[in-house]
Amino acid sequence: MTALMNKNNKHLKNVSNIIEGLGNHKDPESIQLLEEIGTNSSLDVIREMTSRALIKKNEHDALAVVITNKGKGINDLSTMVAMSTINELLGLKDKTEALKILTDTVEMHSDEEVRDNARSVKALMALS
Amino acid sequence: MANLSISNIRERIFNTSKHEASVARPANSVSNPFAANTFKGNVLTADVFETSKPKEPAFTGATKLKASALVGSLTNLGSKIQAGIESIAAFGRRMKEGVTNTWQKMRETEISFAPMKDAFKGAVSNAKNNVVNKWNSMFEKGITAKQIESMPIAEIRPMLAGEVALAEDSAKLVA
Repeated sequence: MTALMNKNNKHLKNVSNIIEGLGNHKDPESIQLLEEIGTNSSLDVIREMTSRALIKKNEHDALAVVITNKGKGINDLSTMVAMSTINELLGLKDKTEALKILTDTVEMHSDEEVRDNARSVKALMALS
Repeated sequence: MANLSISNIRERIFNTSKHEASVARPANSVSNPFAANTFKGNVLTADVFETSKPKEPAFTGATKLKASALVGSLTNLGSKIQAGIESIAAFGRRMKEGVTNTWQKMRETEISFAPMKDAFKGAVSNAKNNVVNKWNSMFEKGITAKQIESMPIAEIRPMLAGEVALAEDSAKLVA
């Protein structure tokens, strides 16, 4: 059991390093890769790492993944993942792009739940 | 009573022309055998039958040229048809040969495929081992985020997918 946990920790460490590296990667395809593999993982911890890496990029496409997609980022079914993503958004030094995407989401998104979440996060960001 | 001596009989048998010459119609007579007869009181005066002597074709001058051209064209046509038939036959033969050759090549390919497959398998296996070894050695040393930053996405993609899958599998086993 301990061996299995150690093995699991080893793989999670590798995943963490790769995701962190992708967060700093200059290639725009890194966003696509994080969205494709990281945000669709069945493990909460990997989705959480991925959301943080995407927010760290502070680019339109990367922020849009965690704000406008149902079931990802701030709209994740896991409270831990959603709260961690919101916390990361609140910690951004430059919130301009995030606020712009949140405003657009509140005004134009087709899903009511996504609009409500975006509105709440936008209010929190305005207070911070 | 006829004289039935052997000499007379012999003469009648072997010298027929002497005795039958008077029976044959004269050569200059008309060809109508009914010319001298009467039909209900009317005499057929006109020779209604064509003479048995065949007409010579009047091939002269231009006609000869036309005829020879016609014959020539017909001959050419025949040769063309023959050539066409031959070409069809040749085409069929070529097709047959082509199919046979292809089949033969396929069979040869099939025969020679096994070593190729082995070679391919070996090459793929080597390449895979190289990648896995490189990957393992990288992780054994402890891959850092800095190393990932400088790597191309095409190389990172399988690494991330593989590690995520392994982490998910391990988590399932632990649970």
